[in-house]
Amino acid sequence: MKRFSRRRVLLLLVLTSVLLITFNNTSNEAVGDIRSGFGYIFRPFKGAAKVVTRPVRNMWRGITNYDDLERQNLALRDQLARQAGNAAAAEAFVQEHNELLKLQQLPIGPNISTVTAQVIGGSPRGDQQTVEINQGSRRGVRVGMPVVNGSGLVGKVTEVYADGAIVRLITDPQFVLSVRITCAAFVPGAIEPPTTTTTTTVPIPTNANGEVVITDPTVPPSSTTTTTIFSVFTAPESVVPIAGTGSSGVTRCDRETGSIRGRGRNDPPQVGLLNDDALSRAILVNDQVLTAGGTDSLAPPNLPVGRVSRVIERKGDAPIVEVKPNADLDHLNFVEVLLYLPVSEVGG
Amino acid sequence: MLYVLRQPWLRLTALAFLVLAIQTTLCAEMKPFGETMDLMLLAVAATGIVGGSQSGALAGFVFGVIFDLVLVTPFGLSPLVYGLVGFAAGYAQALTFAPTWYLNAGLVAAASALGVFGLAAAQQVVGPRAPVESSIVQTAFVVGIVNGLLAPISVLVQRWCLGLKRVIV
Repeated sequence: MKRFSRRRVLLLLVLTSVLLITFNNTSNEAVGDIRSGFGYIFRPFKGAAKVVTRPVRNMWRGITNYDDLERQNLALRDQLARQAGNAAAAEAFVQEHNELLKLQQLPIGPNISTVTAQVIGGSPRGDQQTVEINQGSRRGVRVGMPVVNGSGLVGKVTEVYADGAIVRLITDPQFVLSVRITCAAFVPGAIEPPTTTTTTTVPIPTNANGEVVITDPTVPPSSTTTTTIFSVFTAPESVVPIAGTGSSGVTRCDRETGSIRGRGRNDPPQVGLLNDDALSRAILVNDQVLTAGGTDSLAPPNLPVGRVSRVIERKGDAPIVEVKPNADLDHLNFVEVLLYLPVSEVGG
Repeated sequence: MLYVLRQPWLRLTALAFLVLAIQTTLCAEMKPFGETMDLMLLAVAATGIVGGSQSGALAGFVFGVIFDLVLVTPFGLSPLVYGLVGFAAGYAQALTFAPTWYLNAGLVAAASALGVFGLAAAQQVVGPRAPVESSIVQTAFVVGIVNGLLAPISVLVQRWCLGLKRVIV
């Protein structure tokens, strides 16, 4: 080692790193395989480290989250009490709904199987926004599949192991997805504006016959291995005009598509690539952001992503739209992986 | 067997795995001021301080490669930045006269903060076009302070790893 001068070592290091980066860009699959292989080897060590460091982590959580936990506990008790009351009323509505659907022979929407998973780890470094879940390829999870929770889109799977996967959150700077912005009016079960209470609407689960399934809200979701049926939000294809039009007299419900991109933990994701036209100028704060779908999109259409939190107007250019994700990405516990592959991949 | 265990680079690689295990478990949850600590960066900077710029650069490369295997950022980015951080830490330490523990801690803190900025800059060049986080200064500050506080312990560990004795001036 002493034969090399400092400069040579530095040059060698930089060149090797550049070579690795080039290799990453040209042979992304090979790098993915190497990472997966390392993941298999490293998993037992990580598991052991988790066990050993658990007391320290618990102590840390106890110190930093005690007040939050107490507040959350009270809020959850309150929510549980209200839900128990609502469940009985909801049962009657669901029965009525099922009867009506049968009567009218209406389709409920495409059913997509899901795998319930638990979040077991966070981002190992600050410059990436990921979580680790405890379900992997053994349960049918594949790279690119969207991940949701009761509030909406959480992210997409980027690495898969046999019994685990890494999910890139929608706040990660490398997260990009096609979305469309629309007003809340025509989305069935639309989430109430943030000014109201924290009540959110969960996609209605249905069985194979398209019937809505009632589950007891007091029972927590099963830990990991349950495969359920997930009914995607459906929206009519045609535009439904509502009262309240934007400037230029354009109906606000006209759809506008763009790409949502994460900007890190502290900055809200932004939707860009909007057309600079009257439609994009009509976007208002609190409008719904849904996945756009399409043959190449990694997510099915109409999954709720979030709400427009800010519209940044630009002279001579389309506005930039900031989005507040529906899902609370800092406190994820149970999530669902949608076993969905884009139409283009299924066809190929 | 004992001969193998006495090899500094083998010890350092084993340490890299150990630190990685802690980084991906403990540090993924313990977030002072909401920022993720970077113990890999700490170990690299401390190696540079203890072993000089060459050792720092090589340790940075090894730690970076191992870290990149569990990240989803472009592969090769961490070895580049960590290698430069290790080199810079060693180089800066060589410029100091009679380094003290607190000076070493300061150098580790500065090198770690530099590493955070370096990663962000490298992401801009190498990764997909993505804006730099507005909280990058806060992240660098927190990572620097935490690593600076942990530096005395890390320096001792790296000294053991590289099989170096402390020189009392």
